[in-house]
Amino acid sequence: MTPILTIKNLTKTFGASAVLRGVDLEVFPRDVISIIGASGSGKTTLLRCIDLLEEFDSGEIRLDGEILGYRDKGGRHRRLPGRELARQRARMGMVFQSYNLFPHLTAAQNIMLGLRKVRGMATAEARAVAEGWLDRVGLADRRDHHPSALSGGQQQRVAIARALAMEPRLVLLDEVTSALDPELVQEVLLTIRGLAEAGTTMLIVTHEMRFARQVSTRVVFMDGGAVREQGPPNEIFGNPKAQRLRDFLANVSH
Amino acid sequence: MEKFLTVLDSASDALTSGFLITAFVSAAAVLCGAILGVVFGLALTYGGRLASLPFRIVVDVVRGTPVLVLILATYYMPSGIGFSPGPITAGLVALTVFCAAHVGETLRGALRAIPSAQTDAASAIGLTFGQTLSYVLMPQAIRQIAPNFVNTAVEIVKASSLLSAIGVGELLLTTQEVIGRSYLTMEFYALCGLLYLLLNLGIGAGGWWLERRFRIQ
Amino acid sequence: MGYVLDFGAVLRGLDNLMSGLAVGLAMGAAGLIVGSVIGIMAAFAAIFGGKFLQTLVRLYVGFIRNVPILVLALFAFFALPQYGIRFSNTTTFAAVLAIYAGAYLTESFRAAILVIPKGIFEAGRSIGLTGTGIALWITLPIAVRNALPSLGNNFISLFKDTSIAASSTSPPAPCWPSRYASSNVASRNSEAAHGEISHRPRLRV
Repeated sequence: MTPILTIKNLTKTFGASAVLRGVDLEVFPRDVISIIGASGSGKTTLLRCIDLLEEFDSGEIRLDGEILGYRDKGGRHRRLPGRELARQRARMGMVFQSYNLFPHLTAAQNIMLGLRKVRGMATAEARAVAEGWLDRVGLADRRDHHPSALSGGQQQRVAIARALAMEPRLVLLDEVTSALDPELVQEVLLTIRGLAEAGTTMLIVTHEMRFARQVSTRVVFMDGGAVREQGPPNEIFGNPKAQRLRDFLANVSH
Repeated sequence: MEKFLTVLDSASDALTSGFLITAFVSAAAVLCGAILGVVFGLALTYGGRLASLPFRIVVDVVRGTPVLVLILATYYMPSGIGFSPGPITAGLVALTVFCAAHVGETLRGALRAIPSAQTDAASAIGLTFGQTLSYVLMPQAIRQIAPNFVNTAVEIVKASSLLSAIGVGELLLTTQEVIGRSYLTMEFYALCGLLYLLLNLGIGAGGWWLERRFRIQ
Repeated sequence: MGYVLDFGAVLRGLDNLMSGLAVGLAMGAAGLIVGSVIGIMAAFAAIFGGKFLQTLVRLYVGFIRNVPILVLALFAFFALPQYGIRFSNTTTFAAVLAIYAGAYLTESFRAAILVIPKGIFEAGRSIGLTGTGIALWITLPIAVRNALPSLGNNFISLFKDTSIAASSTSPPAPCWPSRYASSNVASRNSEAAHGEISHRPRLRV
């Protein structure tokens, strides 16, 4: 099986500190990978580099074999122009910790924007698709509401629908429940679980250890900017090998 | 009072013409200034250090200068390089640039206040920078600056009274001509003030109505 | 291009320009100080006064902010004397500026008072201060401090309006004299000043 995403030796330095030190990762179709680790271990930066929201210093990311973000020009790595980056980003989906819905658009319009402007759909068709996705995340009756009229959990579910409507090759979720009140977390986790069961390929950065254990096909532990250990959930949580991982798990409930 | 009404009757054409010139010059300056102001605002926000510099200079100079001086300069200075603009042309240019400088600066503030997370989200669904600007950033920024823009429009109407200094036949100059003939100073300055008041209240009401229509519920 | 810039004219007229600047600064300062007092009083009236005072302040602010300052100045210079209200040129203009500034500054001070948390007033009452005491020793100092950023901006834009003084000292006529005593002509550019002094403009009406 060929991987959807391959990351080789990804490095990023921010000023004086190295945020990513040679990350290697392969993501296969239908993988649900939870990335865990302490704050500052580089998890969010990794996701942002994959989605081309940040530049990185060395290494390579390939999506279905295509190199992301850069091209070789005369032996030197040059960042791709804006249009190319936009095209590549459209093939991945990202859901953010603070939802980032567009406040001036309704829930349905938030989803329709990408469909109409990036994928070129006609308005009527886009509306139908958007409403379908809102129905799938259980928010069909909220389609004409603005984000300010939605709870945090509802906004996050709209954000998930917005990402999925673009039919991306994989979806990146960056601590999507961390900003939610506790009673709203479950509805979002349930939605994500539904996606996992439907076979969506996902990379999930999360602090919800129990959820990671239940839903993932693989767990990746990051520390100090690199992947220290990865494997099936039962192995990572039940039989951690790396010392840092043991320390980390001892400090969090799982 | 009777004398006032008599004079008012004979002067009504002139005053109406003055009022209309005030209204049209102000409207033209606000319209052109808004468009130019968007250009200024975008250049100041996204121009980078080099490209935004000339705009920065223009905006700072214009905002730091009294409108009267801007008007006089626009009218008198071009003779140094060979051409003499007519009073209405000079007045329009001065008021347009005045409006544009304010709109540009306010737009810059509004664009910079939008969280970068909005740009991230737009990028994540594959929108290019141009699309992000058009469909995500500008709609939010324009709603933000709308009240301030209404204030600027009112300031332009008030500034149009200064065009009397270069001979434009707007409301104030017309009023002064009527006073010059009739010596009813108090009455006609009061009428003049009242007309400006009504015009500006109308602009304020229009702005309030527009804001209600486009408000996000 | 046959135009030769002659800044010598500006240098020769520098004394004049500078004394004009001094006059402008003095009028501006007086107008803004008195305007601030008016603004503070009106803000207090609008927030703590009864319905009548509130309406009065709203009418004052609404009127002044929608009428050009030049119209107000001309009214003060030429209409009021007909009814016996006559002061010196500088006093009149400073008064006009004060009333004009007061309307804008009322809004600044209103906002500054409204952001003071209610708890502060309750604390004042709990230590036994009366309404006047609270207003004087608590509300006023805090409001002034809160208003400072907005005051700064307002002062700059209101000070620019002192240039209007130039236009209002001339009699109502379609043409304007070619010599201005305005401070801001000097501070803004010498070219305009030069234009006035050595280049008699012909007005097209």
